[in-house]
Amino acid sequence: MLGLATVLTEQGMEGIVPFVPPASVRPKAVQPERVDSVDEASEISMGTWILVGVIAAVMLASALGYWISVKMAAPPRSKPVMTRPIQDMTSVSPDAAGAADAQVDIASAPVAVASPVQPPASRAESLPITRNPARAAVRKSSESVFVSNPEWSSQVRRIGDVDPVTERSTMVILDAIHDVQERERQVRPAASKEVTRE
Amino acid sequence: MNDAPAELRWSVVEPWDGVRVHGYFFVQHMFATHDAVRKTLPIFSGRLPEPVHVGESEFRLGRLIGLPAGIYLHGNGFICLTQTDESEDHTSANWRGLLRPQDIWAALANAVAVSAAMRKPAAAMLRAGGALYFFAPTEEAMQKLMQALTPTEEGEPPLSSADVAQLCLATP
Repeated sequence: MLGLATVLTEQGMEGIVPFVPPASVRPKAVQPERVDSVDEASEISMGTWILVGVIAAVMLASALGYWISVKMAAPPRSKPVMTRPIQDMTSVSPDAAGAADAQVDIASAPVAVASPVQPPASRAESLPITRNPARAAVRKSSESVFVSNPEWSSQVRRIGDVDPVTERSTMVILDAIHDVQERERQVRPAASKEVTRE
Repeated sequence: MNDAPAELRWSVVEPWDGVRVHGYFFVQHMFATHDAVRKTLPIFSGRLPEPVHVGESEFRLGRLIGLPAGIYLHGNGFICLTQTDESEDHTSANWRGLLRPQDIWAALANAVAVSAAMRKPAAAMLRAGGALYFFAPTEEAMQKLMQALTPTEEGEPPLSSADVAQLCLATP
């Protein structure tokens, strides 16, 4: 029995006044469980928001990268060009000027008019890459075949550094272009003459 | 043959602030040739209490760390002896002026700590110069004492019996 004596004798003690030992204080760290659960829920919510933010940032970055790549890869938009039906020049001969008049009528017709024009692919096949024998003879004799044409002088100077084989193949191409230009030059006055007549 | 317990022959018995003070005054050199227990507890003339702990033994209860001067097994309980500071000898004439209230509360505090630690009743005794006191608390005094040594917060610093005595004195 816990207590203090109020009477003391030779043999012992009597009249005990009892007391109850004080209870220990509950530590502050011990909190109700619901407080812990609230903290846990808030932590989960915070983590979810962080995850959503990361996903959104990744999606935005991907979209931006895709837009930039598309912008860089796309070629510059060309200006609108009014085109005319392609004229088949294969049958035209520089010597047959009279025969060209009939074809010029067809070539100068409006776009809406149906014309017997072949598709570009077939035209490329039918266009023979043939060398003009007269020009070839002249080229062999002289050093530069394009000296007579001042428009090509710069191009000749540029390709003069390459090997002869490349130069000759390039010249063949340029020769074909020159032929086409000459034919067009001959055709245009005839076509304008036809329009004036109408 | 009388089987009634032999009463101790106290010099004075007076109430003081909820405590019944028993005082025994003596001339110290009269017990110079006696053994240590009789010199310390001269009130006992027959069978002497048996010393259990003498000095430097801590007894804890709540915020209190009791450090009594000696513990004696006496009958069905323990005598808890507290020693006062050196002073002139207490007599029946001057004891009221020499007995300090904080010593009364300190002796009671040590006794409750010993009772709680030893799981037995304890008697609060105080040894002063030329005097041996026994304090019999009332219920009110005991409540005041327990309130003073009960911790209210976790991690509060421990209190000595003198600190508890000061708290009891501050409590109305």
